[in-house]
Amino acid sequence: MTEKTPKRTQHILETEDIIINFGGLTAVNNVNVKVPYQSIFSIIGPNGAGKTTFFNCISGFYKIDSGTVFFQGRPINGIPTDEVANLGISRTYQNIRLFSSMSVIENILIGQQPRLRSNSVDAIFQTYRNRREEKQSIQKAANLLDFVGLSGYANELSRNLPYGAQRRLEIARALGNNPHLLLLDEPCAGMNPHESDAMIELINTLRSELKITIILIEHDMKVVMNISDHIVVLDHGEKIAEGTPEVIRNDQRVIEAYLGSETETLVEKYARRKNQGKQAE
Amino acid sequence: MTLNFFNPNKKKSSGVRRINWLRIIVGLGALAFLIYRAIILITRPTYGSVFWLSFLNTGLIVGGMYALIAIGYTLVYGVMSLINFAHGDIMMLGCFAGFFTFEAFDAWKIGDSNFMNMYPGLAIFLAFLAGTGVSMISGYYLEKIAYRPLRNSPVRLAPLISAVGASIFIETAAQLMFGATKKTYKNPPLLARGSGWNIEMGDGMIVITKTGVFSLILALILMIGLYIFVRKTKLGKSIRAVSQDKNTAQLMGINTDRVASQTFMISGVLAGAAGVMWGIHNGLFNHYVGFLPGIKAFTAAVLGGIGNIPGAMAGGMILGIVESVGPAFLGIDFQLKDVIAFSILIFVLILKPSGLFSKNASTQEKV
Amino acid sequence: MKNTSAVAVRKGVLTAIILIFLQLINMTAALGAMLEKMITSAKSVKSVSPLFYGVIVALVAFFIAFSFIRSLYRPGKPKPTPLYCLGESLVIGLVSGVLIAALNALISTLNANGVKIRTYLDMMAPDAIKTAAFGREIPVMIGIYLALTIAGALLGGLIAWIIKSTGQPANAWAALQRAIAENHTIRFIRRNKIVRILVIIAILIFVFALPFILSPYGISILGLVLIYAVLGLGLNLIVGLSGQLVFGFVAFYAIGAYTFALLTAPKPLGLEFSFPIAFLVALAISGLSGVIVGLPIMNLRGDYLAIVTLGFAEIIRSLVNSNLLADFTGGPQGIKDIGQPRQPGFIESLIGKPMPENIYFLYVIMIFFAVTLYIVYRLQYSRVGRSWEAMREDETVAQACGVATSYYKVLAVIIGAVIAGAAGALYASRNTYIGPGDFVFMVSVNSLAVIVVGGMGSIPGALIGAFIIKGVPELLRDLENYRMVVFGVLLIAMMIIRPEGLLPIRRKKIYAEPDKDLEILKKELKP
Repeated sequence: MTEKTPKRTQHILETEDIIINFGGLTAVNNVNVKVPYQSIFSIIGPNGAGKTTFFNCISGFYKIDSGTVFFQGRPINGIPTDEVANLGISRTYQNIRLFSSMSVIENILIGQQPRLRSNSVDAIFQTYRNRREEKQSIQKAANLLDFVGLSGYANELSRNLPYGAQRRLEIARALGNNPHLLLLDEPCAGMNPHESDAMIELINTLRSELKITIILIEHDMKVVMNISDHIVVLDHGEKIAEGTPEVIRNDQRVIEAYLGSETETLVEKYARRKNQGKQAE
Repeated sequence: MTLNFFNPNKKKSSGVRRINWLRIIVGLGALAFLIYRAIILITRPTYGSVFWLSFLNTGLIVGGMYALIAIGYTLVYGVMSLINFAHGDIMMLGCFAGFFTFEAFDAWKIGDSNFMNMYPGLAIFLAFLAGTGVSMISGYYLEKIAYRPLRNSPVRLAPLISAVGASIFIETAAQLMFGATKKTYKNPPLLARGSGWNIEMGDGMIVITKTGVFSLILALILMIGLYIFVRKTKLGKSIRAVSQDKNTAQLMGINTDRVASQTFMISGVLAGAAGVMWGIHNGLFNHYVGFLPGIKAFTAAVLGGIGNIPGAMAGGMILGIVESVGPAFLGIDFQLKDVIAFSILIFVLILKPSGLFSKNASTQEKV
Repeated sequence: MKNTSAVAVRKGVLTAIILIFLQLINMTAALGAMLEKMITSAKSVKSVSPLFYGVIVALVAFFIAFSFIRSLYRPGKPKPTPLYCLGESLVIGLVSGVLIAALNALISTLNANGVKIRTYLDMMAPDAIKTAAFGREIPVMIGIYLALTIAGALLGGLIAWIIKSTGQPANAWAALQRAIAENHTIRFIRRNKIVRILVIIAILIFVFALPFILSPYGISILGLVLIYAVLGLGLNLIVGLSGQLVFGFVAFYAIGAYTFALLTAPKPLGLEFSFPIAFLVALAISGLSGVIVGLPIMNLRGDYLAIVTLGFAEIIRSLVNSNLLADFTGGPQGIKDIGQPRQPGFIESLIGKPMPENIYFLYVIMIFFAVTLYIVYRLQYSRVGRSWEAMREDETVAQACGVATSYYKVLAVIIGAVIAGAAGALYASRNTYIGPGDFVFMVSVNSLAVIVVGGMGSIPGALIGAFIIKGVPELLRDLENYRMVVFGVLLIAMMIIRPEGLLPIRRKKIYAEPDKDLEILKKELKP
């Protein structure tokens, strides 16, 4: 860490006017967010609003066309993905992406990469450093597995896990590098109410006990309204509203974005005509 | 350089746009060397302009053949993301088919003369028909036997290994069947090798052979035909659709299996034509004839941006020209033209990895 | 039922194509001669007797009919009647017999009319044509062919039917396996630690005694196999673990060999370094070439490394072969009198006389193999190996997990290059002569095949693969000419039937007891 006192200390992540274009289509347009430390920050919006794209530009998959991303007060856009991970930003994926033919515990060991110091020479000669690190990281992996409730699965292949377990394994893998900031991309997608309650519990523990800041993309409004401190609503790549869950719930533009505006679609028109016809009878 | 040799995770960097020093150094170095050679050649000319033109002539002819083969690689890569390693061998089969057709016509006596002398045009046409037909059929069966069962293989490299296996099989089978000795094409008198036009130019003359002109024109016609085919026909459109997005194409009702085998047949036709041209123009050939043109054509496809059809055509032409002009330009032995061809590949991958003619600069993957 | 008859006709055509192909490359005769040699235990068979030639023809029909009838038994379909099975087999035999006989009739007629078939079909010498015609007139020959294929196909169909309706061999095999699993002594040997250690010691003693047991020919083959196993281990790091394809592995092998050769040979440079120094320099140079090849592809995905290395290998081969460097590399003539390791004095004092050169060198190769094995094993089951595997599984995600992918890519190529350089230096020293012909594209293909056959990423797989790719063909010298044809077919078949290799990679089990304490986890997760 640099010793210079950063200017933007009260926010762990800040974006300034970031714009991403995909050949004519502006996927993210002038989005400014400020994520406070140890908060649960949700990004919601209809499909194709640019939420995942926003994640991808934080973690460095996409190059931003203009604007800046600040992490703990330092600009991080343009640096490779692996160095973003080194800084303490981890993420999960919308469609689960585990290392499918590696075992569960190995997946978590991979997640710990940025915190390891031994190299190939250490590995060949089995130095003290290598053995100590290996032991520590395996212990930590076991603890993480226990934390997300997968301790019985350690040596299973990760592709053989059930769906919900794979989601939790992804979170455990993301925790491996001791993140300051965790980006969760639809962690509750495809879960039943019981499972998503457990996930809410897990996310709350991450914040309260492990002091990790969480940015969440989620479609399940119950989850979002329950746990978020702060919500940003994206639509067509633009930020249309921002605030606490109460503010968002009553925001006119958000309701429009989700339920459609005044202009009728063909389907709606047809449904209305049909209704009118019924009433006329 | 962003390499810390012993520990990749030690460095903490802050965000600024990186400059790829490797790219700049290599690019500037290569440019400087080329300028240096150009200055030397201008101040102390080793070859007259006639030589340069005849190098260019050779390059264009070879380039046309490379381009035809390269299109096959690019088409297959686009549709199946597979390097069809046996493509050069398919070209070789076409070459053999043309050879046997000519031999048969030569042996077919009609009165005093033989078929080849009486109907040379028809003989050439039928030889090309045989060459393209054999290559087309072998392309079809190659896909069916060696690649289709591996479409959803859990091992990513499986199709490629299978392609290598197919290549070895075809090559050695041809060697055993037809013998390892070099054979000579019997050209019909219309396209006798070596005959052509001599154009006087100042201090020398350029020899433009009939076979060369014929090959180049035929290659250009085939390329234009293929381009129109891919743009206008239904099959061409489905090939393009599959190479854009396989799953979506499947959802739109395109039978990707059929498109794949048709793609193999088209690329086989082009390779077969190139094979017969190779035989007619160069004369000597054996079972090994497809190997070097094959990998060079692949280089050409990468040069033009793999998956990009006009790119492959241009890449083939450029490679052919550079390969024949290069040794003289750099002042080295002509034996080393292969070295030049492959060095270009490495330079292109350093300087512009997506190929010279591709539009999307970075190969981004959606997460 | 009509449908399957059409399939039977197609199978018949397939049989005919296989028979024609085998005849055209004269493999039928070679296989027949091999069979004859095995059964009559004759030292050498000059020309195959018609009996064994016919047996091979019938065998091909047998196998096709056998597999076809077996494929008719699918779950959910009515079981075919025996008469029906025989009918289908008859179709296969008839169709294939007619086609192969027609071909031979054509060839024989042409030959009788004085057409020189040999100029077009290299293997069809007059003798071979006569053998294929069983030395008879055309009508008799047609009869023989039809009888052979029909008999073979009927037999195949019959046996398939018997096997399928009684389930005999499958049941017997299962029973055998059950018996082995339940046998107490075998279980005891498997479970007991002391027994296991004793077995390992016995294997080690056997390995150490091996050079003295083997014939000189066996020693030379074992040396070659081990060199290929080392090559395979190196390639395994790049292809099997980090998931990048390398087509021109021979480049590194050649660089190692040439560096070593130039440093130790009296001509053309006259340096004559000792073995260890030259060996180390060869390692360094081949590692350096790994850097050169690795850097361009550092930030690229996909199969680019395959093409770059392929191009690199061709560059190296052309350079070595060219006149430009002929004074330096010997050009097409190659380099002679390459140095060999000197035996240390203690061996002579230990066994009284100097060890024979070839045995000593086999030990040297074995030691290098063991060292490579150890290094590769350590790397694979460490942080580095795991990072490579993660890259192979999903490069994007691996990078987002903090794996410095460009670093690990180049690292894999460098380590692989060093190992290949070691193999090359050993090869040069073993042969004492190298030339451009030793470093052709086939070496790359063979080393790729070693790991594919053995199993990608699997360490014991590399050894097994090297035995199969380099050892077995040496043992099957009768089929030398046909080795590559068979090999090509095997590669395809292997990819379809068992793509993970003979000994697939095994995941090491990792056990650790969780602390069950949130405070410890909190401490561990402190950024």
